[in-house]
Amino acid sequence: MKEKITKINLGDIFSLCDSIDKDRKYKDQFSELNKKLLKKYGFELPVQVMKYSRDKYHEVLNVPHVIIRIANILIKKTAKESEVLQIENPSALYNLCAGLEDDVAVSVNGDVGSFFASTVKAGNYRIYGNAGRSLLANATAGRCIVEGDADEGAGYCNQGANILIKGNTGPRTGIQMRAGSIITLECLVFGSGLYMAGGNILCLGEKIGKDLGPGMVGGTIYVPYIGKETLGIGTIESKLNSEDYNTIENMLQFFPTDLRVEKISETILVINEKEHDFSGYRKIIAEKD
Amino acid sequence: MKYWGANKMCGISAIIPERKIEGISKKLVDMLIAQQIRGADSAGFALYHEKNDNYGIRVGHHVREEEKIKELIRSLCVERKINEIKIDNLTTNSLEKYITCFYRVEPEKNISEIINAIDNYRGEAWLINYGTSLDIIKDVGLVSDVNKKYSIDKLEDILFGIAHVRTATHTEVTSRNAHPFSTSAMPDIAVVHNGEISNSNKLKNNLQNKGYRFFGDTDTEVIAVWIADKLNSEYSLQDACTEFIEVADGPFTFIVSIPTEVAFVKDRYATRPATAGYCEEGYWAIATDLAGLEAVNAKKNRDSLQPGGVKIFNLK
Repeated sequence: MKEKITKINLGDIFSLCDSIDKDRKYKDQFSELNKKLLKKYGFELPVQVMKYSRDKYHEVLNVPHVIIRIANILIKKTAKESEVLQIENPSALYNLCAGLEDDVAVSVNGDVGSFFASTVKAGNYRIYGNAGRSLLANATAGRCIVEGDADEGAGYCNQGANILIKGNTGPRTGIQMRAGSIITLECLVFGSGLYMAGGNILCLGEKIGKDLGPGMVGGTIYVPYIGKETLGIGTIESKLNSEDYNTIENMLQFFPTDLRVEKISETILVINEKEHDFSGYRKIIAEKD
Repeated sequence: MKYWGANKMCGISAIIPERKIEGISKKLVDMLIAQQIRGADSAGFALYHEKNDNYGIRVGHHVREEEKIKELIRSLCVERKINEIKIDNLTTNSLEKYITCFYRVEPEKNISEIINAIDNYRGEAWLINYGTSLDIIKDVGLVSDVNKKYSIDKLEDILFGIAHVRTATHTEVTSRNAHPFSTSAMPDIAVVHNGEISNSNKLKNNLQNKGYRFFGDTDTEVIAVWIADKLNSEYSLQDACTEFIEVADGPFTFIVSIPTEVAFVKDRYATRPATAGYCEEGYWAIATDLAGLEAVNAKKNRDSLQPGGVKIFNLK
């Protein structure tokens, strides 16, 4: 039987490492860390972690690889036992939640660093803050909502995840995307959809950057207008057809609590009380298509 | 609470206050510690203080040349009637056997003589920085090690500063190749840089033909000299940086600082990350990783710059 909600405070991991006496040998420090981890969380770190940290940082506690390793083992372990994970003090850690395979709802209070939830196979992620680079990189499934901004390469090599970014996005959003969808509410800037091979990107904001979809071979980018330099190399623009309107509607339905959609007509949707007339939208697709 | 970001390239940082605030050097140390994972080879700080009446020169040289260099500068001071105010050995790095020394000299007009003399020791001695309000402190090792060695977080009366953690790519791991970089082309200029300038050799040749000296082999020094050249030609910092983006190839994000302005610059494709953020305490911070901004609570008005973007911060 899974517990309903589990809170993980990553600040505790920092405190746990800080509580260990650093004047002893690396081996002793590491074994004490493992003892404390076993007592508190029920797992230990492999000895290779110590060797790597010792060689690279001349320290075995409070070094990035150790902290991230503990955090991710703890998250994976807890995800198997819970339905909802609440992560506090994410401290912009890199690689947080990487490789999760359980269908768990994860909410993160704060900023996450680069490669958040990369290579995940399931899960619903919500970030109450900003995200670093390559959000949900290589994710094969799952859903992610970013309340703040997402840095460069959000949805990098996305293979089936659905991503909603409420704030600004960095350059090259959806780079090398294969499947899935990305919706941005504010902007879609330079190089987004670079080498895209599948999936859909939709921008509901008014800010469109230049060179969208350069080198794309598949997939579609929906934008409210086409500017002078909007089209990247090897792309063409065209009007939307009924199939596209359906696709957009389906994309919006992935986020029912965040995007309240009311259908006025085939081309007009009211999204969060704001009317969007998609008849004026344009799609960017690969030239050979 | 510590913040860690993964193991990629360099990390850059800056703290630019709107008014005078305390603890800038401490904030820079915290930002670098937060971004330590981006580079564990060396760390460096360019700290600006109130303008001094005398010129300061920071020189790095091989330890075996210590007496010669000191004597040389001393002799130049005497010969040119420059009063040598202070000679202060800040550190000896026993591994590299390099030493950095800080000299204060006056007046300005003879500074070029000293720079010429240092240049003659090419390979054995080099200029780190010179000027009236800039001090560059850099060394190999983790941020915590460099901080411990130089007590950077305890330095007071700093107006603003930029900083860097390095993962070496093109050149060896020495304090000489650590960032920030300055130049003999103009005083009080500092550059920290994440990325590569692919055509740096071409730019360097052009600058050398103009008569500028280079004290190292890194592409970052090319940025410093190129910008200094333009500033000497009456360009504004904004215009100089905008033109640099046009002429330079490769992925780069850098911060260049002079006593009155700081510029945050991204290449034409914005291929290297960095974000500026504002803290309600009254300062702007720039960091490669969000972890850096988190460490100093710079959460407002975040701006990652568009491709080819230049953001100028004016110092009041």
